[in-house]
Amino acid sequence: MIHARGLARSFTTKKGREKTEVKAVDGVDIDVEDGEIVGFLGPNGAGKTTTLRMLTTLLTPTSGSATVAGYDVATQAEQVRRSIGYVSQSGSTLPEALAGEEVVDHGRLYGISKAQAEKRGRQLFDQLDLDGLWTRKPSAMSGGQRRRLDIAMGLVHDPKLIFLDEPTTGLDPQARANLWEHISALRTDRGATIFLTTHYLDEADALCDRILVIDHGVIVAADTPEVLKQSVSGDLVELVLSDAGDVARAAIALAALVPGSTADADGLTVSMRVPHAGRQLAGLLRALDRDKIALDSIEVRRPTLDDVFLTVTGRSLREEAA
Amino acid sequence: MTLRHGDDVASSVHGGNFARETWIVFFRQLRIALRNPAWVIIGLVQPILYLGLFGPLLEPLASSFGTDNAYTIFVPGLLVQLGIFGALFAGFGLVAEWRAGVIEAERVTPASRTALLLGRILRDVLQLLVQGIVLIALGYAFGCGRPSAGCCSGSC
Repeated sequence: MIHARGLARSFTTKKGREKTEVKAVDGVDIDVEDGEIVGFLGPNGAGKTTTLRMLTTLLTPTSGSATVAGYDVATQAEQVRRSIGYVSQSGSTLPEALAGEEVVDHGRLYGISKAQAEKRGRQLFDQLDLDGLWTRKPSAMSGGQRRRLDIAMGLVHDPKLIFLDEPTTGLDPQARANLWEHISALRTDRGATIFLTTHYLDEADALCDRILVIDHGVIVAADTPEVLKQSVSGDLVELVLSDAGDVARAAIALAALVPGSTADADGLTVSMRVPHAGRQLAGLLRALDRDKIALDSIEVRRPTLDDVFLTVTGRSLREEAA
Repeated sequence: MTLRHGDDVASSVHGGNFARETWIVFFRQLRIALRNPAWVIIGLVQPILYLGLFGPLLEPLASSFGTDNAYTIFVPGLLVQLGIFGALFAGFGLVAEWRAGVIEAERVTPASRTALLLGRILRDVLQLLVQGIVLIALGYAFGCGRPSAGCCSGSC
């Protein structure tokens, strides 16, 4: 569905007389097969949206090539646009227009007749739990409803490939979970291929078959969420002690679980990565008990995509890019 | 840029498509504008208010322009003002639509980008036309249409 090779885009910014070239996307290769849900993950400014805008023909690549749905983005832009649906980050409806009319007009711009666009639109409203909102203004809708309306706008011409740019940004957890269901349903009901960007790890984890991690305009990792998480060595065991005097002894007890390792101590917290921590936990607790070390809490965390991100880029996803 | 340009040419080759897309955009703009009666009323009342409120102030000056009816100067003046401000504000609606993401969403459709712009401009043109007609009609009512008949041709 999508095949991109060496796709790059740079912008020139002027600072006085000095021109500097900023490489927003620096040569990415992307392959997405039919029926896949692929997540494009990265912090703000990593180049996610720029890549998406190139793939949707909104931006001309500085170099590299891409075919989307079988058409070249540079020379067959019109055919590409006809085959894809794009749901942008910023929304796609005017707050004071009527939802239904926006969808119909949008569909007609794709060359669909008015009657057909209305039929499709009403079907989509039904599927996306927007029934009864046909004549409502987007300004009077909730954030989640507006997001689903944007998706309806992008689907009105029944595209086989859908681009979603940060679909759940700004939604509350319930609305997000609800939107996830709708997004997965796009594939099961329509057989659509979905390419979405996100900076939420749990979102990529919950929705995607494959994840591409992008940082500073370069793809730094690409695999299934499971394999990516396995690349992080083990679960994180975190002990919080009640007495600062025990920290050194607790660190030794924890390090004893994995030969040749050392535990990190930070204030009252002692932590270390332990493969298959579940099996080791009972022994650890017994050892701590024997040494009369009192615990405030103990926590075992499975590797998250945040850890993956930290491993491949050397920094946390939550730290905003410098 | 060259790409985008070639693209527009390609879609306008389909002829009827271009007119159809322009019409869709134009009609959408018109519908949204008419749905907000406040702006329609303000747009129509504004020239009337200018005429009614400022016209009398110009009466004492009329003789210095060599006419006995100030409106023969004022009405064409207002038409010019309408033209200038109408053109200045033509892009205003575009800013709001850009912010709401509407423009970007429409740019991902196969529709010609020229049609997206033309449809919007045509709505502004229509608004100007209606306001101009109201002004001219009022000008007649205030006595502009008489002998010199210059209020529209600008000879006064």
